Amino acid sequence: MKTSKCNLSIACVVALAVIILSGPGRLAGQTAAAKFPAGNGTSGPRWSVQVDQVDSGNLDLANSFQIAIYENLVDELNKTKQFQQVFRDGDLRAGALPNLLVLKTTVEKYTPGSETRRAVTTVSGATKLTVRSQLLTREGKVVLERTVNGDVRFFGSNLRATHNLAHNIAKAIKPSSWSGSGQPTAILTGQL
Amino acid sequence: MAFREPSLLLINIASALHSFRARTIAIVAQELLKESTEEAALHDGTAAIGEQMDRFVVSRSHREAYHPDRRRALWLSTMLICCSLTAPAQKITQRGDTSAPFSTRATHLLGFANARNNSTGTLSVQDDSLQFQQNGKPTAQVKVALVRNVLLGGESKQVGGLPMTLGKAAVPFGGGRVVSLFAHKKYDTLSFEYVDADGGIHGAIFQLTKGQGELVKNELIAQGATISSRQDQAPKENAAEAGHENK
Repeated sequence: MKTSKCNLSIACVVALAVIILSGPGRLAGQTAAAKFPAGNGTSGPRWSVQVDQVDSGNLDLANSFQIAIYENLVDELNKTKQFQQVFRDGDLRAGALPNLLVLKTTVEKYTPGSETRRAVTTVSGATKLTVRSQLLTREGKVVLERTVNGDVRFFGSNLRATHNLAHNIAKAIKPSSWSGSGQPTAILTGQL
Repeated sequence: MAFREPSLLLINIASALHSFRARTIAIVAQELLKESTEEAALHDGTAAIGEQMDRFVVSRSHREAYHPDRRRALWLSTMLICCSLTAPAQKITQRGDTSAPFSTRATHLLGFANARNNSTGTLSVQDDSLQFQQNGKPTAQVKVALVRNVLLGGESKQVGGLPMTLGKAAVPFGGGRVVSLFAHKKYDTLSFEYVDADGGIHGAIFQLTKGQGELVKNELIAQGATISSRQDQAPKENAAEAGHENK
């Protein structure tokens, strides 16, 4: 009787030890999975991206906004570290790379706002931007297409909308979100 | 005869200036010339009564012609007026003649070489390059020949930054909103593109005091930067805001 009690306690201790030891391992695995999502595994080829200049279409978009979107996009894509290299439009080094995607951005909608109106009324004067982002292969095949919004509603200058937009685009075109073929257009909204 | 020649000279100078005020002076000079000939006619007894009523300059006394000293004084004063009118034009064009480097205070918003975003410094055009110097930081520079699509814009921004925003938020009964209504300022935004050594296109935006953007743009164009086919864009703002700006 005494022996069986002893065996039971030993079994409990062993089970507890197994649970404790296996816990951190599982957590570590989950962290690793979050760091290297499917589609961007270490085994697969890493893609580079070339950011094209922003096309304002026939909208009356200020040149400073186009430049700000372009520059913020390059910055945000570099920050995400999802792509092996981020090239600018016209970069000669991109021509020789095998795994290159081209990011095209077309402005679809632009609502000019006012910083003063935002500060005075809070509810009006928001600057809003809606763009269509396309990831294309070198041959022109569309890999990913997204409609992304960016705006500034409360604090900050009008150009801050471009920063928010670029951040949302960088989130939307993570390699985990495309599987090599075109996907239906999804809308991702980001707000400050 | 001695009177006529200087007045003709004045007319020539004034017509060369092509300005409204200069043309006015030319008219005055013509009147003077006309008057002198008619004064002579008066003395000859050939002028009719009431003939001298339609002119800018009318002599007080019809009994005799101007005294030579008075004429000289009038000429001297007219010449002085001419000189004072042409002086501002010389002042404006003086900027292009000097070889001193152009510089102005500016806020770098984003994109220029390795300069920090939202930093204030001195933007200058010298030695065929556009330079931005922050206090105590190395100078960021780009060759003017690589700069293209220089465009001007404008924006109205709240002054004071984050401390002012927090202060306004702390004012009770929405008083901060009233402050916001008046605490804004118009700025020029100078945006341009430039090409790096690898051919990659960069964009940069600077914020300058109103009126300075045009000077920097002109300086860049003078140094060989290319401008865009697009037009400069004025800021879009509502009428109330514009009204406050003009006050």
